[in-house]
Amino acid sequence: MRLFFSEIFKSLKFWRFWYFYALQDVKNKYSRSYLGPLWVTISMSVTVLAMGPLYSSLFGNQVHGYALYLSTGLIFWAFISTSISESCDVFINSSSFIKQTDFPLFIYILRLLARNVILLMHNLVIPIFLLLIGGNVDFTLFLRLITLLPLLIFFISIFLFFVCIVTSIMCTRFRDLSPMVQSGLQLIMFLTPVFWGIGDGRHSSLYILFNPFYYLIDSARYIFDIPDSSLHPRAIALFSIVMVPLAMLTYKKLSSRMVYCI
Amino acid sequence: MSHISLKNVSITIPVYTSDSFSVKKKLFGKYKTEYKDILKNINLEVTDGERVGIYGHNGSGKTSFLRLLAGAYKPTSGNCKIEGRITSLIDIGMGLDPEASGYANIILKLISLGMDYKDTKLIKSIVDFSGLTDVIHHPIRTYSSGMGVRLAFSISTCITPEILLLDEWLSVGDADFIAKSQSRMMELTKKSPIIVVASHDMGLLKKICNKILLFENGTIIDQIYVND
Repeated sequence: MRLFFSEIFKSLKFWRFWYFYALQDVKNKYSRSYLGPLWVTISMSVTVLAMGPLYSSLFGNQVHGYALYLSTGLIFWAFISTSISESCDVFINSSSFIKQTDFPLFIYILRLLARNVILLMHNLVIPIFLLLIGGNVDFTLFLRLITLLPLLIFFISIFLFFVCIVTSIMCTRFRDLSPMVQSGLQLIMFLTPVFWGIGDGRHSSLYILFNPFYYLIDSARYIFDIPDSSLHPRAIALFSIVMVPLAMLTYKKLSSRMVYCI
Repeated sequence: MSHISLKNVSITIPVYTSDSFSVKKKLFGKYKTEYKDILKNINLEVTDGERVGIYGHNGSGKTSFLRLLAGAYKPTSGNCKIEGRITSLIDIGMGLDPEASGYANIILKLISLGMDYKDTKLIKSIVDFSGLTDVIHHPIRTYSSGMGVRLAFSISTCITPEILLLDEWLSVGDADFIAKSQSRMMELTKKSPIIVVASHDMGLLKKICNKILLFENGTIIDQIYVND
């Protein structure tokens, strides 16, 4: 247990490594095409533009309100699912480091999370733009965006960090897990209110109650002032705390074998 | 003061095949992971100023031994104590990003070596040594393989490590650069308190090292002392 936390501490102390490599990963996306990661933003906008009117008529909502609802859902879901699915081969991709240094394993996970946080910040332009054209940005909402949003992203990252420890180690040790994780994520996307709304009074549904991703996305929606959403600090904390012993167990059992698996 | 002390170090590693990589086989099959002893009962003391050569055939444990010293492999039993900052040139392409420019790669690699990445004098000296001044802002995937190795070599050897690990003597680039790199390697071996080189070239090892370990099947079967 002490080893686990000292490794986390060592990884954080080596922030230059994962921060600069993450920054380089994003820069690479720019170098290949002029717009770089903004392509992601554009394709996300197209998705929202195309699906917004359709789904809002299906669900009987207002187009603008639904576009905001959908874009926050999609963007945060993309952040969560990309991080988890990339964690499956993060050690295999970092094998040249792992095979000849004793760098703590977590720096590679931090690199991938840092990269995805930067990409998330690109995509946040969409809901902020939608808020602005909606015209109801007042001072309190502005304050909420600059204080709560970074805080939420920070706490989602902590949760994802422990999830990714489990998935990265397990998927490196057992190679047939990775496709299972990918299809699992796809299933979870449909079970989580990314596209559909839950409205009032149906919070007790089992799909929602035990779904950590619901609490993450709903909290994000609250920050963007979307009706019927709320912050769930206790749920996020609870799910993160549940992940810690799981991460510790996987780390203790399998981390020393990682170098022989890649 | 750098020091390497190994007492009865053995490493046993699991050998993963496609069967043992499967969670399905693990849960429902009768498959058992095989284990292999890659290093057996290694005893070694290395102090400042020693240049250790490792000689052996393919699969005799040379690279595993270097990985143990680098900290990537942990001993299964025995005691391994290493003091001093280690730089490993086992795979000198480590940490190079093909999409990034030569310049960006210098910065990344300096960071991964724990060096000051803002030291413009150091960066300039690396660029100058590599002889890639004209193309340093191009992505390194556009480099020829020789140019890539030149860059990697220049970055990795710009610092003076306390313990230097080398897998095979590096012969890189064209004739000009080989001469340049050989002299830099000699310089490095003189400046670094401890170096450990693995090679199958006995003549070369006798030229640089003052102690040569003969490896066979993961153990040291003999030691040769070379007089300077």
